[in-house]
Amino acid sequence: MKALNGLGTVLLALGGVAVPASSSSPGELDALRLVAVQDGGRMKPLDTFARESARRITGAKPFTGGERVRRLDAVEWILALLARPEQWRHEPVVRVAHAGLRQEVGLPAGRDRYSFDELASHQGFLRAAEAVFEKARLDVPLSPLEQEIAALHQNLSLLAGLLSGQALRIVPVPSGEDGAWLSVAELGQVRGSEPLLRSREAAGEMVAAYARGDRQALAQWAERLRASLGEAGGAAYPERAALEREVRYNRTKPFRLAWVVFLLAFLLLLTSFPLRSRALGWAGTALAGAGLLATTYGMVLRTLISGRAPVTNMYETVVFVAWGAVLLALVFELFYGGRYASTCASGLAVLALILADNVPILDGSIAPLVPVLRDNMWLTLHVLTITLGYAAFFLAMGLGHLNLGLFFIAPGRAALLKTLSLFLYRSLQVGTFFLAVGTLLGGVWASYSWGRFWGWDPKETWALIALLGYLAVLHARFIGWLKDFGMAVGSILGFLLVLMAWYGVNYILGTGLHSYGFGSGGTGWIAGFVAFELLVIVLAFSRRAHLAEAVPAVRPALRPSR
Amino acid sequence: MHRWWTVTFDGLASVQLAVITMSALAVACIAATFYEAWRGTAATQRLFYGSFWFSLLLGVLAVNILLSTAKRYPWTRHHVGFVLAHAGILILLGGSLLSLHGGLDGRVAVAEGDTTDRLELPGEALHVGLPDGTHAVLPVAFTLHPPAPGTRLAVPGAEAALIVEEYQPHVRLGDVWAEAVEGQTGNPALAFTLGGHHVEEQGGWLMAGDPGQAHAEYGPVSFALHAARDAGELRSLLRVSREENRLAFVAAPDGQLRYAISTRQGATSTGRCTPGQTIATPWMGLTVRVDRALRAAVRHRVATRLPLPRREEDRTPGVRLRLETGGASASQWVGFSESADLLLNGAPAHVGYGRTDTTLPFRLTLLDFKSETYPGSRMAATYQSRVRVDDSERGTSVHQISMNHPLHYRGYTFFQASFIEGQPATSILSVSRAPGLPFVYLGTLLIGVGVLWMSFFKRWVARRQARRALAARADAVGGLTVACAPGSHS
Repeated sequence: MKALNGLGTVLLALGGVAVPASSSSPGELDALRLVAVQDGGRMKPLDTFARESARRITGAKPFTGGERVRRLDAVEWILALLARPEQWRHEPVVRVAHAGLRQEVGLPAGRDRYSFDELASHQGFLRAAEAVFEKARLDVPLSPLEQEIAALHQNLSLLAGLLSGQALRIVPVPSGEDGAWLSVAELGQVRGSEPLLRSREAAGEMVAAYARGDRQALAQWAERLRASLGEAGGAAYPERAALEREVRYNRTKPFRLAWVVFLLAFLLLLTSFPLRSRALGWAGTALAGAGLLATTYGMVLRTLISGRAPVTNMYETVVFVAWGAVLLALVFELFYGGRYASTCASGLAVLALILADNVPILDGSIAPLVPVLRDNMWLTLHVLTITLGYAAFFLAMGLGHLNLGLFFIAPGRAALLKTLSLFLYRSLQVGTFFLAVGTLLGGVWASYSWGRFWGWDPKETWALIALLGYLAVLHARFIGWLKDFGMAVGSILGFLLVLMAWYGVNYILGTGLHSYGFGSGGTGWIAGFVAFELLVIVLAFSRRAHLAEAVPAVRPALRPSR
Repeated sequence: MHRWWTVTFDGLASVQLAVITMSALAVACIAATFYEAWRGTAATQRLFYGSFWFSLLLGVLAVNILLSTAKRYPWTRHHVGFVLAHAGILILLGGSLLSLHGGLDGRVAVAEGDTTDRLELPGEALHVGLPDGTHAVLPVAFTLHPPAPGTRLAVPGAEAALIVEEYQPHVRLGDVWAEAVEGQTGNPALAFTLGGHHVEEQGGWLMAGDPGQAHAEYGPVSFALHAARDAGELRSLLRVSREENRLAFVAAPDGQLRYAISTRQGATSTGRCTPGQTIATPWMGLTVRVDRALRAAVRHRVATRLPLPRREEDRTPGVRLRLETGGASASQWVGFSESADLLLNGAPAHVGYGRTDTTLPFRLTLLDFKSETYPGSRMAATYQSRVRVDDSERGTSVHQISMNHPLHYRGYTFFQASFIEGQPATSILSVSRAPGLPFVYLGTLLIGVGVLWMSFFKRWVARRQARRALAARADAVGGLTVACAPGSHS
């Protein structure tokens, strides 16, 4: 077949061709998934780029991930956009989730999905976006609504880039000062290089084959496209193994798998208590171990993909805390048995991983790091240790709830209370150790990177506040000011301090040197959580006061199960 | 029963005091971080972390740790972790104190190709340069203690004084132009506005004979105002060229204003103009309107007082300084990190307001500065400075400073902090000297080992001993559970 003059021609020629509606998850696209795209400062497989674009534009919803568009696999959707841009301009796929935004700019009511054409020609929205950009240019801080407007505008630009092919920077020819790769749309302009000419032909033929519905030809041309792009890029082109690894990470979704496994583990462990079934208990513990392995697998993949420890943003630390809590609980299980710690940790892991999987502010995409976070051993040690501390406190918080729950449901179960209190105390000890060491390592890192060991920056101050809080609790236990009940309350209050150090400094205070992690959103949820915890504590105190009045009905004491 | 000092010692060495002090410190820190989000870092450092009462809290904690550790002497194997961790905290606090008093924090700003030995320190200072070349730096603390009008500061090493005529914590400084009154000498000046179809209106002042104000550049076009003393000079100043895009205004000896437009394309023109008149130019529909013309203008700097922003670091303080020496005196407004030129009986001098500084015992030259982005994006990946150090004692050496890779040199550490874009680029290095750092590191190590010991090894040792008393313990656990059952707490 004669080499085509460029993709533009192909796209024009395809104007009237109907696109077959295919909804399978097609293996023919596997080669296309492995095409490297330059996006957001790194090279990623097209699979990742397509999923991220689909999530952004169509708005990820809880538990669905939003990685399919109109029943099309994300990569196939990218292809469909190229093949029939005219059709997709009219498809209402852009989600405007923010009801206030829809009302503010006057979008048609009664739905939250709009087409590209609808939004790109909507005067109200364009005017609002213009005003927001003017504010941003003057460095005026944006309100949450204005941030939503800016984000929607960015999503529209992305969609425009996908429709025109300009967002698909897959041609490994660095151009300009920033070394940007050329896009599919610019493929028509390349001259000379043999592999590039073949890439051009393959891209055109691939889109044409897709438009015809010829899946076999599609697979062949996709494979040729990948091969010729790889050849054109030479040594600078990402290795196939690395791209395959990332696609595997995208497909297996190890953290989603992990929370499902943890959920099963939690349910089995929970039922094992009333049924007094050792078998169920063992199965549950084994499943918790399997969940831990799945989480570990996911973290290892992420580490290999990004080339750094998986603790550099909120998403990763939430996953890591879930992992750490389960690991610690299983260590307790090894020493003390009893299944309480693993039950509690499985439940907490489900909670944390579901949050990570579904809350938009916990963005799971892998992005490059700001300079100060790069290639630094102290940073890695500091964050890993601190986060392990958070994990132990997370577990302690969960055990604290169990303890307080016991005060409500079965105040007589003194032996069980003692066992749980022992676990809680151990968790606090482990957490305090890691938090102390992690905070000091943070000082070592700061001394190394910023020139001072300690500067009362809000992030480091809050780590110290949490540490002081837990140290106060541990010392108060030592002199008998706090007993089991007090420790349970302390573990919950302490975790609120951790939450502030972990989330609050970045999202509520928003000042200081750790600004690379700053963001907004979720404040309402966190406030709700804090209010709930305070309510729990108040209820627990009133319950205890009530019990103190009544004659305590103490069951015969049992030895703590070991 | 007890003597008062035993009671005091026990109190100061008690765990109770530790719990109270730690809680108080935590509460103080919580308040401080929220205050910082509201009022900024400088005020928080002053009111909280750097305050006397905060130091006192830390001091109480240190005394408590010291005495509680001493109280348990003679130490046994049981105390290893406890002593290590608590001694570590004391050593860390001591090291911090040493760095606080014997160290320094500052910054060096140096442009590519430039050499400097000036280290900028956090404090405020007035700078003065006298006609005889004397330069002096006078440390002040105006932010904290606003000076009273008339405050007089002697310039060390010279028969001169700086008088603070007025101080404003947050101002915008601007120029006001007026015709000179009798006794003043003025120069021709004019105000103009650029406009046109695709141009945002902008304008400025031109003043003939003023090196900083006689010319202005707007994009590819330059503007100038000259004063002609006679007809010959007028002719030569109105001569047009085809080498540049230039609009030259000329104040003629008769007081009239003329202009001459030179363009590279060759379309030149000349003419007269009066205030209010708009001149069409050959540059893409650009128009120039003359708003005001003054024959003999003088410029006054004026300060407009602005409402105070919430954060101290967002303020731009300004001060009107009068420099007096040998009977001559002149005054001027200067904003923070600005300096102003003065004429004392015709001799040039200058005053400035900014940071204090000190000189490094060696000189730094920025050979080049590089910032790299992640491929295909504008996200910064690294920035680095290549510097040459010229040291009279140790000779010359070349070093690379980048994020996370500082330069350690003669007790100073240079970190890549930030940079100012431009041609040439300016690299900003933060500089610190922390003599207490080895102690801080030692303290860190001891705390780490001590806490590890207390949390884990001690239990392992204890368990070995506990096995011997297993039978006795079984009873004890039973008793303890009853004692700790709910309801028995209050």
